[in-house]
Formats: sequence, C-alpha cells, structure tokens
Amino acid sequence: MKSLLLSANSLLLADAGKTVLIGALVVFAVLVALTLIFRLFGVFGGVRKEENAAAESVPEELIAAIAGVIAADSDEVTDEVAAVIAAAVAAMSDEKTRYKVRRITPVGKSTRPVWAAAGIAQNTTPF
Amino acid sequence: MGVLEAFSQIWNESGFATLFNFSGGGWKNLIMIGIACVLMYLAIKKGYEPLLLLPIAFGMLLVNLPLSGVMDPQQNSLVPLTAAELEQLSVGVYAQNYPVLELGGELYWQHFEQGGLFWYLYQGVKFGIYPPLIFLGIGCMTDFGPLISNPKSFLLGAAAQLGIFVTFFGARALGLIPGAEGLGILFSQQEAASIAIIGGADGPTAIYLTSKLAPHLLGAIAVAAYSYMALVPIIQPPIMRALTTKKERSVVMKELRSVSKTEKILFPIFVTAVCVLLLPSAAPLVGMLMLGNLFRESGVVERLTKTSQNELMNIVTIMLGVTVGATANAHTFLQAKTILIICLGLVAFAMGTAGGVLFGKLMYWFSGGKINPLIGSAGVSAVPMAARVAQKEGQRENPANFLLMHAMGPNVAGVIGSAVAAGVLLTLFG
Repeated sequence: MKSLLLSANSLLLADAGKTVLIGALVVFAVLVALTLIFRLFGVFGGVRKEENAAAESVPEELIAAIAGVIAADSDEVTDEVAAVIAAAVAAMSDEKTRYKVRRITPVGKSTRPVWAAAGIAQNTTPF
Repeated sequence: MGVLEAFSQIWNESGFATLFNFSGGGWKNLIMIGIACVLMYLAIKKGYEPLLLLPIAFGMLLVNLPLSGVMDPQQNSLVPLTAAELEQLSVGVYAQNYPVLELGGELYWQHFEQGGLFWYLYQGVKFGIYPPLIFLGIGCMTDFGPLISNPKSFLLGAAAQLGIFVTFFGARALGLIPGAEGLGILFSQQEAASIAIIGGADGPTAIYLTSKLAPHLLGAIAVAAYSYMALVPIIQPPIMRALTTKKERSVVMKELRSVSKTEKILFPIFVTAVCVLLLPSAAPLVGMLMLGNLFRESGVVERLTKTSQNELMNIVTIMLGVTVGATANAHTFLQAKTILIICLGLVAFAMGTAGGVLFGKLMYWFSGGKINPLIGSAGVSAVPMAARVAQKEGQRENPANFLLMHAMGPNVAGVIGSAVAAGVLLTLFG
C-alpha cells in the first residue's frame, strides 16, 4: 500500500516536472525564434543605422545655428524653443522645399486673444 | 394582513434578513462585502490598479448582496403540455407564452427564465472574448521599438516566465501533503496551471486561461493577479537587490539603435506568424495583440487605433471587471484554496522576477558587462510598471543611468512571453 502511494506521488511529481520542462522549453523556443528573426532585421537595418546616424548629426548643427540666429532677435524666445520650432518646421517640410524661420513671436504679443486663436483653430481644422 | 405582519413579510423577503441570518451562512456574505470594501479602498485611496480593481470589487459587492440575482444563470426547462393545453393548441390557441418544441413525438413548452445582467455579460469571459479584446487595445498602446532594437530582450521575457512553471510544480506538489484533499489544497493540473499564470503578471492572460481551465477559481486568481501587479514596486526591488551586485546594477547600457517604420510594421506580422504557427492555441491573445500593434504602426487606421485603445478597451474593461468580480461569491471564494492561491501567486511573481534577473546576470557575464541585469526583472509583463521599477533601481546606484527604454524591451517581450506560456498550458491541459 505504502509503495503504491509512493509510486503515485512520484508519478504526480514526474508529470509536473515534465510539464515544467516542456512548457519552459516551448516558451524559450518561440522567443528564441523571434530573437533570431529580429536579429536579422538588425543586420539588414545596418545600412539604415548609418543613415540614421548621418541624419541625426545634421539637424543638430542646423538647429543650433538656427536657434542662435533667432535667439539673437528676441529676449523671450529661448534657444530650446527656437530649436523645437525649427525642428518641427523641418519635419513637416519635404526634401525639395526649405523654410527659413525669420521670426518667433510669443503668443502674449499677438493682437488676437489666445482663446480666440484657439477657437479659430478648432473651427477651421478639417476632420 | 396587519401592518406589522406586512412589515414582517417585507423584512423576511428582503436581502437584510438573508444577510443577517448567520446560521444560514449570511456571515459569509458579510465577509465578502468586507473584502470588496477593502479592495475598493485600495483602488480609490491607494490607487492600486483602479481601472480593474474598482469594477472587480464592485462586482464582488453586488453579487454578495443576497437576492440581488445579478449573476443568476438563465434557466431553460421543458414542460410537457397538458391535455387541455394540447386541445387548445389544436385550435391554434397557445395557453402559455412560450415556444412549443416537439421531442420524440411529445410536445413541450420551452420554459425560459431570464438570468441576471452579469450572467449575460459573463459570457464574454466564459467564451474568452474580453481578454483578447483588451489585448487589442494593449497592442495599440504598445511601442515594440525597444524590443525590435534589442531582440535579446525576448530571452529576458522568456526567462521571466520561469515563475509560471515553478509555481505549477509547487501547486501540484502540494498534493503530496498527507490529507491534502481533505484540507482542500489538492489542485488539479488545470487549477495549478491557472494559479501559475499569475506569475505572468498579465491580468487578461490570467483571466483568459483561468476561464478556459478552472473558471471556478476566476475571482481569486483575478484578485491575486491584479493585486500583485499593483504591488510590483514593493515586491520586485528586494529580489532585484538580493540577486545583483552594486557593480551589476550600475551598468550603463549603450543607446538603442533607432527602428524604422518598416521594421515596426513587419514586427506584428512576423510575431503573429511565428507564434501562431508554433502554438496555435496562443492565436487569440497574440493575434489580437499584434493586430492592435499593426493598427498603430501602419498609421493608416487612426480611427480604429483610437477606438481600440480608448472606447473599446474601456467598455470591455468595465464588463470584464464587474463580471470577474461577480464570480467571487462567498461559496467559491471563502475556501482554504483562495488563501493558497494568493500565496502561490506571490511565489509565481517572485520567481518570475528572479528568473528574469538571473538570466539578466547570465547576459551580463556573456556580454562582458554590457547588459544591466536589472532589466531582466521587467520581463514579467506588468507594463510599464516593471520597467519603471528597473529604471528606479538603476538610478539608485547611478543617478545618471537611464534604463527605462532598455527595460521596455523585456517588458513588452514579457507580454508576448506570458501569452505564449498561456498557449502552452492551454495546449497541454485545455
């Protein structure tokens, strides 16, 4: 009777152990497969990496230059604000068209109240 | 009937009479109401996963108010037609307002009694509809960029699933305790698998698997899973500190490469194909997660993305929360098993964290000290809380160290990992 109980217990543990082994192996296998696939993405993305690096270095200098020029014209517009606006303009423009940011005026100096400006923007924005 | 008799009848037929009938088990309902109130307090006052804990707690409260009937199942029965009714039917008069069914030459009324509201809503849990819809919303909100940028993170997401399997073993091993059945701590394979999935730290996955394997444990498992997810900042740091050295925690990792839009679009397609081909039972969870992500990354279905991550997800969250809470009635919840489930859930969570950190250490050694093992702890899903904990622990050693984006890789890999683990358990025991 005792040996029967022992064998039932060991069977239960062996079963549970088998599940742990199979489960952990399958989870690892699936995620290792995904790791390998996306490592390949990285290999093919190698050229892009250089492109990205080049792309990252240009705007930094450009933005700094633009920021310096604009900041000289205004006491209230900080270099960071100018850089962000210049970057936003650059991001929205295509490769052929280039824009020059000549002036950045703080909202407070506008003749139109800010709420009126927001209302106009809301009513004129297309769906 | 006198006034006093009328009041007495109203009282006897009210929920109060049942609730305060202690010999009839009303005390159990009072305890459950107390638990629901504590959970509501934790959700409202402490901010513990309120989006799900609050509906769960309210569902629990409502179902434990006697006679509320919100979770009563729909009753269908067949009642044979009497001779008089048969006669009336022969001249086209229906004596009862029910459809007639002919079965084996006999005619029956198809009696139908409407169920409670939550019982109907619960069908979305029972048939595994809500969790994949939640995954759709999660997919729309998740940026897999850090994972694509550093695919090794997948391995950390896999290692953190260790807690699931260790806990499965532990739950089954409890059956070896003499008299386990009498003590109510003997867990079947299905029950052990449902408890173990708490270690995945992924609420929808835990609910999905439990609804398929052990629906009677749904309330306890959901409460445990969401409670531990809320307690990530308390549970994980001591384990992370115990398993790593100061030097390992101070490692500053190299900046991640930028990921192109094409890679981000291909990611959900590849993940779906690989996971579903290898493990078809993971299709609902992984498929919907990746569909949501494809919505997001394609950039051409902005309306669908917004709906999935806002309106749809919020509606499903409400229905999932209240109905899961409503499964926690006094009869199923107040058992020795519930306390054990909560303890085993904690073990699963802790082991998952340890698995991720230890694998992180392995990667630290193999990479020549380039990988901070702390990011391994984020492999237990709990997005983005686990990644934030890794970031915070890293900054404790080195304030200039920013691990957040590095930890987001294993963190989102953990979501995929726990869905895959659920698929494995469903295949084995479903």
